[in-house]
Amino acid sequence: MRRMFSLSVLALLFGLASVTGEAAGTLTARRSSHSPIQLRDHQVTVVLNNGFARTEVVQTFHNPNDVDLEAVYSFPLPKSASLSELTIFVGEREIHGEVLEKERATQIYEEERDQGNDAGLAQQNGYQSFAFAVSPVRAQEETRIRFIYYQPIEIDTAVGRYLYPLEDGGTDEVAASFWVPNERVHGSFSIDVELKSAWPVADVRVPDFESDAQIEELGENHYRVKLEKQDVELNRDVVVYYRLEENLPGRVELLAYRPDENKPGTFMMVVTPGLDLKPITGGADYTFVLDLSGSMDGKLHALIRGVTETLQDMNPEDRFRVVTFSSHAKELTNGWVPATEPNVERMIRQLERLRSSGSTNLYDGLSLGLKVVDDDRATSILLVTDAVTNTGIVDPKEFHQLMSQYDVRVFAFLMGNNANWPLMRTISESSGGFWAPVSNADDVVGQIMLAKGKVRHESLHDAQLKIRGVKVFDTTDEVIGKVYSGQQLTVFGRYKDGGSASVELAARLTGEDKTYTTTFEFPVIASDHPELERLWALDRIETINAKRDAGFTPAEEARSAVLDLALDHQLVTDYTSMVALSDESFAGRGIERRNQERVERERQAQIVRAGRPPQNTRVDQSRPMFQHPAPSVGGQGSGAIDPVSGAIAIGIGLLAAATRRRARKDTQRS
Amino acid sequence: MFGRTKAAARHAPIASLLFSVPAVVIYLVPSLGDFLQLERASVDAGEWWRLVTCHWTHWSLDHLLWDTLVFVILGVACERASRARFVACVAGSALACSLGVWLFVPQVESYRGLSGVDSALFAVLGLSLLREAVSERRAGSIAAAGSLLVAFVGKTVFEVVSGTTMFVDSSAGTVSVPLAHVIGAALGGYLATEHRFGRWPKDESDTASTSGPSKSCRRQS
Repeated sequence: MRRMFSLSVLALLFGLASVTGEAAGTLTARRSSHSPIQLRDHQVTVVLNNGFARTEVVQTFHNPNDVDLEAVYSFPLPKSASLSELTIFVGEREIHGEVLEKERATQIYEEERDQGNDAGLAQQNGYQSFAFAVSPVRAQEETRIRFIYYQPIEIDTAVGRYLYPLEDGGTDEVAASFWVPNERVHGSFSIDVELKSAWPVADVRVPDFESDAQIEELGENHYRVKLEKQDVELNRDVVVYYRLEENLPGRVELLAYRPDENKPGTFMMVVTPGLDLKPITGGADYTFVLDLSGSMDGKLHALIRGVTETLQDMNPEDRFRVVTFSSHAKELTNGWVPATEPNVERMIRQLERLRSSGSTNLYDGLSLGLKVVDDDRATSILLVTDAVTNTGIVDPKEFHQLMSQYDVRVFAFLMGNNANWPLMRTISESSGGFWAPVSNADDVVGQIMLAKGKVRHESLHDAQLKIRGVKVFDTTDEVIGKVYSGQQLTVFGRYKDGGSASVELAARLTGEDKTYTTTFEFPVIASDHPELERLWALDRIETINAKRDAGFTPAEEARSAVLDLALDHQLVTDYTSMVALSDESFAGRGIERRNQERVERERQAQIVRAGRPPQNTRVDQSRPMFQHPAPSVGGQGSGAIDPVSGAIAIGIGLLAAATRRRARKDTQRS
Repeated sequence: MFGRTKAAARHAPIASLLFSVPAVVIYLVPSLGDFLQLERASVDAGEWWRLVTCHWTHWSLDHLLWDTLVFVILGVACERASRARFVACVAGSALACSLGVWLFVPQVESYRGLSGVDSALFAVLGLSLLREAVSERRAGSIAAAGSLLVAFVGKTVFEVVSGTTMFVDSSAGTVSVPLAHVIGAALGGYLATEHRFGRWPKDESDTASTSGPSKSCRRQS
């Protein structure tokens, strides 16, 4: 598969996007008398392989002023991203980063900067953004930086999704009041995504860039996606989808890292359930809770489109309510409305007139959404928001308590980057629902269809995943709760010794107890994936933060645990930052080079893996955990006549015509 | 003059065209497609018409063009053999394919497309031609019809085994349902063999337009 560029269309897309939103870019203080630091180029290289993504960004700053300046670059925080490397290229020299406690890192950077030494700093701004400071960028000269982060890959209903976030969600009002963003890249922008899939890939797509991205099949289940452009603005997300073939087996895959047999190992286990989950028949109740606050301005069109599609897809025996909220919540319906065609059409017309403004009182919106619940019918809340709660009750603990009072599941669509996904996680997990991030560059309808497939099918309840035979610890919670159709379960953990383990998924399905089991080996020695240690640590950090947000863990205890994990595994978090200095400066300050050692191990492993074809890491082949295939995108079916079938059919039609002509001649002769 | 017009009307593939036009109209009016497609929950709720009408709804222009082009080509050929049996084949396969999808492919919540009906027409036409060629011992026709049928069967088997269609670009976001092709082909095969569908060239239009009996008729007599 290969699609050629159309630079003019790409330019148009970038041009249109620049009108609608803010973006990643350099930041200049609003009162500064200097010209902004310019971005000369921005190159992104991504490898999607073995269940996680490695994203490397290289960019060049140019200082057009006559004095040396500090460059500050900010971009939206990718979900579950472990920022692991920062390198600054100073002439022929490279300086590298080490993670330290946030205050200490900031202090060291400022000291080095003030002394005129080369230095860099990478910080995380909550759930909203990563920010990089580099000093000095010499007058009329260029400075290049590189940073690398890792993320687990999410595959939902056999569809993998990778997002490179660039569009600013417009949710950080404080930053906006201090800085003027300069998002233009004056040279080349490129993104190169290499996909190595263990399973057959049916399709690769880049929504919004369908005709512009080059998609090349390099080998079996091995693809490359390339986008290139000159002189663009970094304000449009790039989303890459890849769809696996249908009827792939339900399965268990395991990646492990244990280079020393005398020390514990780290693992990432991905369970793709193959379950016979039947569609739910009969009517159900849905409450749409829609965020109309000012921060939703650029996302309102996508919101209305998504809700309209969902309403049109409802059955006449379903019922719905629509609640909107900004500073206060109000209901557009008057109690439950049957989802008949006239009612749906009337509501769609009403939705088209909605406008966004005001602050965000999410708690008020959810409370009103929960007010009318009929105990005899299954009720779900479809929440669409960017979750920038800034009015009314904002404490996540209160949301947890609110949701715990009702038997109502919240299915949340989180719009745009910088959105408060930790809060959304608290809300959806407290209710037994799920949440899905949605970018403006996403296939919004496709995302909604995926979610609808889950809501409209049976799900596993009270699911628990247990590993026996091998001592595992510090794992992702074993109590999973609900498992929806198409959902993968990713479990990170550590294990003491290698050996045979049995894995059991126990749950209830339509009132019956179900158990799915398999056995396989945890490796004694495994050295291929050192990045797993960082991914595991980040998973632990997110779990600790979620427990803190729900009120289960005291804030100081959580901070201490996160700090230990982040320093041990060299991760940038709310409590740690990465400072880049020269080797001499690190030595002079007595700072241990823990990240340097870790990066070296990761690079060696990446070199080995780069030369290999995609590896299948399935471990339950000999004793499959599931009897049914894994669900794939199956909402819309068709037989579809393709050109070859068409040619065969035309052939038979021509043969029929020839036979008929001959028969007619025979008849006339006789 | 009037007799010639009547004969021409009998020749004209009216039913094929009448069956094709709704597919185009429905595509041009999207709300009709939503109302007529096979939608599992709506059928469960009693909207049984969807089991038949869904075949005249399509997901995309590509989908519509290929399905309808093939339908017109095969439909015209079949209708000239026997209009009544052509209509029976279309109606029967439309119902059978949908019932198959509804009963045996629960993961498909909505279904559209004429391809199942196309498969039935292909099977009925291909087998009729093959049978006729064999009875008349025409080696060229046997080879042509035989290889086209083999290609069709091979493609259908591939779809069933692999669970996907062979050449369709799946970027439209829909999934293939090979079962619909299998059911259509099986029904077409049954009609061709059990009911000697439109034995060539003894068909209604030919006997109407020519004064004498056809070659096959004479042989029979």
